Amino acid sequence: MKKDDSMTSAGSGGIEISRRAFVKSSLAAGAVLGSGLSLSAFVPMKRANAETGKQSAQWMPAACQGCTSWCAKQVYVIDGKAVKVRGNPHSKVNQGASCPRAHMALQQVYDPDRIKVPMKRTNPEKGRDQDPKFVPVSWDEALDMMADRVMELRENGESHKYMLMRGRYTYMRDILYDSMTKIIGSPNNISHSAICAEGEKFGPYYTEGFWGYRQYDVENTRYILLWGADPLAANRQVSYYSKAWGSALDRAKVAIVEPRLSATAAKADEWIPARPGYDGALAVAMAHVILTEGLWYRDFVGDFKDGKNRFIEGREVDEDLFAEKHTHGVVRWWNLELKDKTPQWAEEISGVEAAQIRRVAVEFAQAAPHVMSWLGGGPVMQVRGGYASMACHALNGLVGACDNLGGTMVSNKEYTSGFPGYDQYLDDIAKKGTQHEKIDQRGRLEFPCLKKGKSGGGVITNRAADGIADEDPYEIKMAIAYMNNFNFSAPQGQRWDKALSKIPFLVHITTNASEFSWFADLVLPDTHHMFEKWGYLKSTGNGYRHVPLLQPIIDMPFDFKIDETEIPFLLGKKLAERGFDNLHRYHVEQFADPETGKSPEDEKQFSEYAAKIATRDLWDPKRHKGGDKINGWEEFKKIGVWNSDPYPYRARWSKMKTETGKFEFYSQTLKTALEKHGKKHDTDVDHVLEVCKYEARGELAFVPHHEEPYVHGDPGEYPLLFVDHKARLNREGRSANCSWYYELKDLDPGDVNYQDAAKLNPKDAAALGIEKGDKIKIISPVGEIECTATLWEGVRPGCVAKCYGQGHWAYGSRAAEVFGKKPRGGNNNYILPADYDRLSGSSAYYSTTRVKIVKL
Amino acid sequence: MKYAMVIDLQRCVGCGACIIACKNENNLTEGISWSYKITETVGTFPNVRFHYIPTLCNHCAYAPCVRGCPTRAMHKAEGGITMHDPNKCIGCRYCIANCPYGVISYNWEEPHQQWRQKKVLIKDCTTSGAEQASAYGTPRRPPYENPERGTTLPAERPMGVVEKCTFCDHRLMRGLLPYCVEACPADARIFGDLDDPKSEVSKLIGKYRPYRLKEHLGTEPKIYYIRSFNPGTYTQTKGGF
Amino acid sequence: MAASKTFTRAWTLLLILGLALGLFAALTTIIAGLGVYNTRDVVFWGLPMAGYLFFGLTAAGLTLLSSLPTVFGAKHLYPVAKRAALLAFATLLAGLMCKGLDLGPISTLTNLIWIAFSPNLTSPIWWMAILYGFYFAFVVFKFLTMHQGKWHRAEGVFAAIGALLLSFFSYLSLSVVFGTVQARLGFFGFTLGLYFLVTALASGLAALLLSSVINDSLKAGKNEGEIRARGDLSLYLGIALGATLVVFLLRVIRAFAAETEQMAGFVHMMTSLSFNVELIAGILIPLAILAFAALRKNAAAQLAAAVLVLVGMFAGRFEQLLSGNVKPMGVQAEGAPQFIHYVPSIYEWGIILLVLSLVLTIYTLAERYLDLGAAPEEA
Repeated sequence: MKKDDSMTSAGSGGIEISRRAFVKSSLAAGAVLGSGLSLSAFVPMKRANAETGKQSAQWMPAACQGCTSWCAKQVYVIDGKAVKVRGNPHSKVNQGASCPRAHMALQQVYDPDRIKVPMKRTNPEKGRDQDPKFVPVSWDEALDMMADRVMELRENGESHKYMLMRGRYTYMRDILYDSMTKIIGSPNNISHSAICAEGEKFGPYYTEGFWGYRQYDVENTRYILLWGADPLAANRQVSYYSKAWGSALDRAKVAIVEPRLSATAAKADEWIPARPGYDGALAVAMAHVILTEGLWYRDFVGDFKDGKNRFIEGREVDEDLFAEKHTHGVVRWWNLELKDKTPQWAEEISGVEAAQIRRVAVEFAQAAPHVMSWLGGGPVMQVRGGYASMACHALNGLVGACDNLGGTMVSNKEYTSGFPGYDQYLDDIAKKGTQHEKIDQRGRLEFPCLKKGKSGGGVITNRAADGIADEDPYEIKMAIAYMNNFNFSAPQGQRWDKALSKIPFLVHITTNASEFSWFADLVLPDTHHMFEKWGYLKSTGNGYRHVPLLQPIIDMPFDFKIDETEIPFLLGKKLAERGFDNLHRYHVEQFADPETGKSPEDEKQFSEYAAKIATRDLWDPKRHKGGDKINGWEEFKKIGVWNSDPYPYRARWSKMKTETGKFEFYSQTLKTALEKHGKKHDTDVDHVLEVCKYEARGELAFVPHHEEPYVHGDPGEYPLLFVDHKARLNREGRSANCSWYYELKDLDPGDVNYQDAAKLNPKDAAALGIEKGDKIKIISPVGEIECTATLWEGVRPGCVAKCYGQGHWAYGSRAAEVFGKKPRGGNNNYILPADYDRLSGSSAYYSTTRVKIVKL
Repeated sequence: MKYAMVIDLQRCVGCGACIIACKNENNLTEGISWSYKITETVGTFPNVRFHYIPTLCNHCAYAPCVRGCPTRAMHKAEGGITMHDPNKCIGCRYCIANCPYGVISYNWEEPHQQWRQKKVLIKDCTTSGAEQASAYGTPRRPPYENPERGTTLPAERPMGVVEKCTFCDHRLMRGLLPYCVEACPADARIFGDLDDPKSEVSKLIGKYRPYRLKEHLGTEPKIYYIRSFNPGTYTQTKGGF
Repeated sequence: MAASKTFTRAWTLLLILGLALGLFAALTTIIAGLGVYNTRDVVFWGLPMAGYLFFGLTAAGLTLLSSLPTVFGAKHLYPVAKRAALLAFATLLAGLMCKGLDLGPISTLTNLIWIAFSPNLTSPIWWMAILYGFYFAFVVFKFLTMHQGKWHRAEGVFAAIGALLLSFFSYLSLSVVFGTVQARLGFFGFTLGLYFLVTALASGLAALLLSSVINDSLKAGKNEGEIRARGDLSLYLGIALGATLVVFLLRVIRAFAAETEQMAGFVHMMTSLSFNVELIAGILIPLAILAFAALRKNAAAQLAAAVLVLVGMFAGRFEQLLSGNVKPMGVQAEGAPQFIHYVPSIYEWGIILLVLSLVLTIYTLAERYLDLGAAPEEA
């Protein structure tokens, strides 16, 4: 028995399976299998023969963006139609493994409710209750409308009132998101990143100078201590971790901190159901134990000069007595935060027994350095989550897990180049326009958004709604948005309804008529990333980085256009017709085919050339810099993925991109960033922290520490804490029109098929008089949703847990109860208040609001 | 040749990729799953565990569904596959009565109805199921229909007959593994020949104490489970009061 | 017939209406498939199957009753024997139609030819199909011999014995269908054979009693022989009900004695309407009525007892099926409630309406044209 790799090898090209061969083999098999089978074998054959005669079947390379794992895939294409999906065996990241949600891409690309033509709004009124009354228009007319608006803005010196909103993207984004926005003359390219994961990047950046997603070396680890991530279900590298988990369990002990029994917690040794918002408290208590028990990893942290452990509960330590190796400020951390943070202290506030905290900390540290403290979104996408992010991640420093075998790793090097510069195409209008403040108000005193140490360095996506609605700093007159659905996916999404209603000309590029489209003046039918689009991605896992290529690989009987390349190219042409040719010249002058030097003649050539240009150093053997050696563009298209060199363990020790170059327990890097931000606003760090809702003052602000969670809603009126989490079959928020999503909703432990179920602990349910299956309303200080209740022991009492993903009132006939009118289930984001971890800019999703439940 | 599958529950992550992949490979209509699961949450907070057992047809050596089928529509095929021929099925559902595992489904309605519907969300702007199906040349069927399933069964089973897992007989005959086995991201499903003592399934059954579902019924299932879904360790104890 | 014209007209209209509505349900089912039923993969057999069991087993009881005079020389039953034979034919036809309409759409029904071309001798369903096929032929044959007055001629006796044996074997095959379902002890295994036996007798007796009482009330002249025969039938019904009660109690006791998960369906059904109708209306009340010798000879009491028994037995067939499949089994239990709440759809009721109307129509016509009270030549 061999694996199905007959059609995978890179150079094999297509394999033609003639129907006749099928018949032959099935007849032979029929004879073997007995009379029962041979008869049935004839029936479908007749149909297939009549319809197709001959079929071509081939596994074609692709990439999946159903979540941020960004796995390399292969798609089985028969007669131009995508039939199956599997992991691309050429990837060293996901290695041929494919999580369940990848298959659902088939139901997305062949979604019966897809938009087939550009459509134009005819109802000038905008609002949740206003039917847009869309009518079809040609691509030509649609692009004319867009070009006219851009010209008008530029002519009036209002180019900055143009805005680009980015949702799910590939690295082709720069063409639409960056260069087009800038060449038109606006600073407002707003990404979705802050409703994605910025809080998760904060801790690692301000300890070890890495702003990005870490890799976790599960196959070499001895202990996995995981904080609020659900890598077997939600995020990230789900395919790879699913493949590796069984072997990891052979070697490692696993402890999961999470208020609900997650899919990953179901496969762990210990479930630590802490009260939401107290992960930081557990982390510092564990750090306390590790230090007092003398279990820190000396080869990384160093030791007391005389070898005698002076970390004794409640006692300050003289910094001079300790000689650090690759870290900075361990004693100062102890003195500022850890010395009193005993497991008993943590037990009282976190609801986790001191004995368990101690046991986990000791076992974790005893297995050092091949251990990991794995940081997920749960503890950090909170109002004061930045410091929990640092606290949880800092444990990796204490045990030497950072950059170590079996520990936590950063990204491998990759060699994509992006696109040629466009400075020469910025005219005076553009130069002036881009100088304006961005619409999301980043960098203001109360929104430091300290991405990579820079005040206002990162986006604060959800704040843009307020910027637009309040016209602060100015009004937005035209916006293009693609593959986003902010009024559904951002907390307190209702605010976006209001903001979007205000934009006089809103263009939405999307596959489905979503909640966002409802407010658009023009909706453009987008390609599906996995099957119909040119692009490339970068992601890491298993100690490798891979760059999967996205290509159009199936027949497209409808005129969808690629968001990131085709549409900017076509708009550039339209602008040129109107006398502004900078964008078009940039496209034709800078995007020549790197092999032939030929300028792109149409949007299709442009797209492929652009992909070729950006990835040239990966596939052009003459320019090979590392990783897989690929022999030319055609071969790259067949393999579909490039892999980096393996991870160089410990290469970053004492060479980290922090101010000190060390792993900073006392974050000099954060100190500088905060001081700079304060200075920019003529104030001090304490004041910055105060307006940003943090508790820390003075030096404490620069070390990982616990802050009491900041939760909306009076506990008297709103007795339950709302726990949002992501579903196993969520393809972002875009699964709700797929039948498989509902048929298998209960793949999320505790959930119920065909329901949008809020999971309550039976104790709480009994107190509330709620039974399984009851229709309920969940009410928070900012909104309410309707859904069903289910009872489950896997939820911490006092919490109500519910998957994000349902509650669409648009998107499709299956997604909505009544399209445009009534949601199916409830959208968590309608009850989550718009609040932020302001240091990172991250929107707060977790431990953010209390709720009450009313039985309907 | 005696086909069998070992399911390593420690490797299984309960993701359900097998279920979806099976639906995909075999063009199963909404509501029918040949590959499925049995889950259970046991214990009281905070001592709670979630268990997951992947399931499929057990291809029993002594299959009560085969014994009871009046027309031999349900029959034993090469390698011990419990196979069904919908062209002989009279729809009596006695196989459903007889199957102790609940893995046989009857087609109560026309399959894949979504692809017959002409209703559109936004007039002239969005497609319908029927329009998609005809645009892609798969009238009344999903555009992602797998025609290869059609080599040994109708690609979609019609209304009025039962259907069940075939161990992907149409793939086995081409030397390919059942699709659930290939699609499992965790390699939790191991497939092979019990008659071959050197096969991986034979080795694993010899190494661990396998168990099978409802063994006491004497059906001799060919699906063997090894190891535990939950790896949990605990502190050594004698218990007490 | 003494019945008034108005009554005849109303009755005819009612029958036509019943047939028309029933036919609509049946045609819908044949075209649209069983999706119009509320049965699904857990409760895979529901009301139409209960109809099959009810009518099929009633036919078995009636066959026995119609054969008693010819085969066993129970001559006091001569006055009701031909009526019993006719009713056996009508109810058997009804039962087989129920089963046929529980298979699937027309595309499935055509596959029935494989019963002949691809037989499976280990399948109780196959034996059931074959035996019921022959049984039906013999029931028709037997009625024809009676109608031609050839009760005691060779062909008459052959038909009677044949029908009796086939009724016995087909009833047995039906018991085996359920008895061998090892996975569902809720069907009560082979205990069910005993239960089927006593309840088949009871429902056969009740059907015959009912038709005789009605026929008598509509007729001008009274047939003393038939009145006497009814007294005997009532006694037999009482005895059959007594036996039914015993077996019924055995079922209940068994469910509690072996408190396996498998019996949970039956225990669940104990609180259901069908169970209580079966026990109270179908067994206890009629048994109480028939315990009194005077009431056994009273036409109104006979009528009441017969109707109650028939309703109760129908409920019992329904209860017995659900006991075996109301609790999801194996993988079906995943995500499902502990017990399925099954309420038959109007189409399922339509099938029952169709076959019931058919039985009544056949009977009405036969009563009018075929002289059902006829006795053999030598009587």
